Amino acid sequence: MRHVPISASRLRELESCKGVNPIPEDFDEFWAKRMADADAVDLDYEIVPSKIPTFDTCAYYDLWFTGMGGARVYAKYVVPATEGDHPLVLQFHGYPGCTRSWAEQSSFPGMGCAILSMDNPGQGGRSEDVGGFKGTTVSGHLIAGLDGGPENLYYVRLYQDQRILCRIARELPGVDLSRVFVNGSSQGGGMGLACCALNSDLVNRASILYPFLSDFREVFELGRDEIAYDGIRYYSRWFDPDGTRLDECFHTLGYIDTLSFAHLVRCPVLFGTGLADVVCPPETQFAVYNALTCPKRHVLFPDFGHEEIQAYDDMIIGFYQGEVGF
Amino acid sequence: MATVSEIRAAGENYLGADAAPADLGAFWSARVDRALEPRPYELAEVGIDTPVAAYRELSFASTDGQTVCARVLLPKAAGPHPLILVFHDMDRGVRGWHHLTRYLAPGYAVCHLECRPWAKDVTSGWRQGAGSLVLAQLIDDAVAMAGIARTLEGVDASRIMTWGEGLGGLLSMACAALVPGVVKCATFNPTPADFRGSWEAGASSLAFAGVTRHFREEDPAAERLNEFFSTLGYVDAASLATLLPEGAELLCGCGLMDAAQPPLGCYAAYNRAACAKKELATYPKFVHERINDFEDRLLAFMHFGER
Repeated sequence: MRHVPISASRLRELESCKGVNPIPEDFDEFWAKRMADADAVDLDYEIVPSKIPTFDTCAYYDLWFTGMGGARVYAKYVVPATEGDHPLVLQFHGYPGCTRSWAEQSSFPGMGCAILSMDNPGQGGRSEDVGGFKGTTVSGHLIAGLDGGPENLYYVRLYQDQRILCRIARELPGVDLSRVFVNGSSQGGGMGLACCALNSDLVNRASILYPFLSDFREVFELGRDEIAYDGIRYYSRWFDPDGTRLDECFHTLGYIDTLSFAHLVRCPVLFGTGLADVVCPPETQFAVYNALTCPKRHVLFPDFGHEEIQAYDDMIIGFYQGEVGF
Repeated sequence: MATVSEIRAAGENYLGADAAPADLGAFWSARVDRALEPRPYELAEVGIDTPVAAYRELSFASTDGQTVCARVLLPKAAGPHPLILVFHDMDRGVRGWHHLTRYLAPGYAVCHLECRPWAKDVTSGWRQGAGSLVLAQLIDDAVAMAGIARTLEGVDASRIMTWGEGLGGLLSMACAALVPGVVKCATFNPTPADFRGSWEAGASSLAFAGVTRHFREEDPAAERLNEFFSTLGYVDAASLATLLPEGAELLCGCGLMDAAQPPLGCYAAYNRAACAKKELATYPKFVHERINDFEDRLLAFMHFGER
């Protein structure tokens, strides 16, 4: 891993980042329609025992639901045995991949919170990807559907599935709906902020670590369209080699850019950044953070990159209990 | 280079290059008695208690008088709670509180040793004999911590589980072998295991970096080879496995691409484990790393009822 020393001037530069990817003028209206479409899907879900045995203190379930396009979408659902209602954590995973182990899902139940942890379709987990995206599917979910207009994008469908998951969350037994929290890092961080933005009456607190899917145009301009962002480079090289359609492409991607969702987030956000991050450039993270208008706190880790940051994770324990000043 | 199938076939009955020292049980029995003697300790608040658990920093003077720390998480619900003793690997620091919180969900109290600062040379002290090995001291620390943890309020001292990866896997097996009341032992790529065999297989990094250094700096012609490996045998996972109580259960995992600890060493530790119930999970395309499937097995293994 390449470690980037941080200086006062570099920090000032980051703190002034505003982001460059365009936010489509009809962004709010676009998403209101997409959410209405997701709300029109009949709720159809089942909760069944998982492969993990039930403990006196905690139960582990598979939750399957019908998502957009009839896809069978999967989430791990863990419920602690608590007296009275419990908080619920909505957990989103990094890219690519799937929900991590049942043991890893157990930390929030160990704090007395239930957890719903969704597998993103087509990324390595159990959720079904019904496909049908127009254009290339060779590399990078963030460009999947780019040739079919914004409503056809992979992440639009994903956030509609996420909406359906939120509807299910409201029905789960024993959940204290005044304490529904979001947790996610990388892709899960981008998804977490989108979840807050699109379900602002449900989510009360969000823990966001180095969000992916942020300020796409800046990623392209900086030449950081590699690793998780490599879909941008593939698309540019294969489908828009001379950059004729750059403005059009990044305008379309603006519908799923975390930067665009920031103004809709209402709940308090704890936001972590490893300043040596070579996957999600700090510029893009600061742009998103700076665009948030909600109560927020940014914690910086100078000698950490895109990796587990235990000191950050430990802060979530207090944050979800209402501690950590803003 | 051996194929995956060859490694698995060779591992099936492999017992290690050296037998365990003949007086291994007596050696550890004396040390354990001392390590388990009641000793003063402090339990300090950390300031992150939740409605369901207390988070504490444990500190105590180990067998050599040095202060050693551990992280303790205690369920607030009425006990008795099973106890899990967690040990970290040599190439990483203490695990975070949030990480450790995962063990509260299945109802356990948690005690996690923060290894004392050491030079990461597993051969350190060998010239003075097995009793002076730094790994023997680390095992003493682990046992002393276990001795305190099992007396904490709400802890069920008859339902103790140990768990660790790499060096933590060695400490997990050592505690399970030496501390009364440990009924479940989980270990992943326990290191060091099968000192001589692993060295002969070319291991030279992490736990074996010290072995390589020894043969380059202290004994270039390998004239004291037998004495050296005989001494290290007292702190070898494959030796300690022979002391596991028959009634304990063992879950052992092995990433077959682990270059730091050759997988045959892990097989040796597993095959020599003296307990009646044991389970081995091997992973052909994984190294010394976090594996979701093994974490799921570990969680299921924590269950005391039918699985």
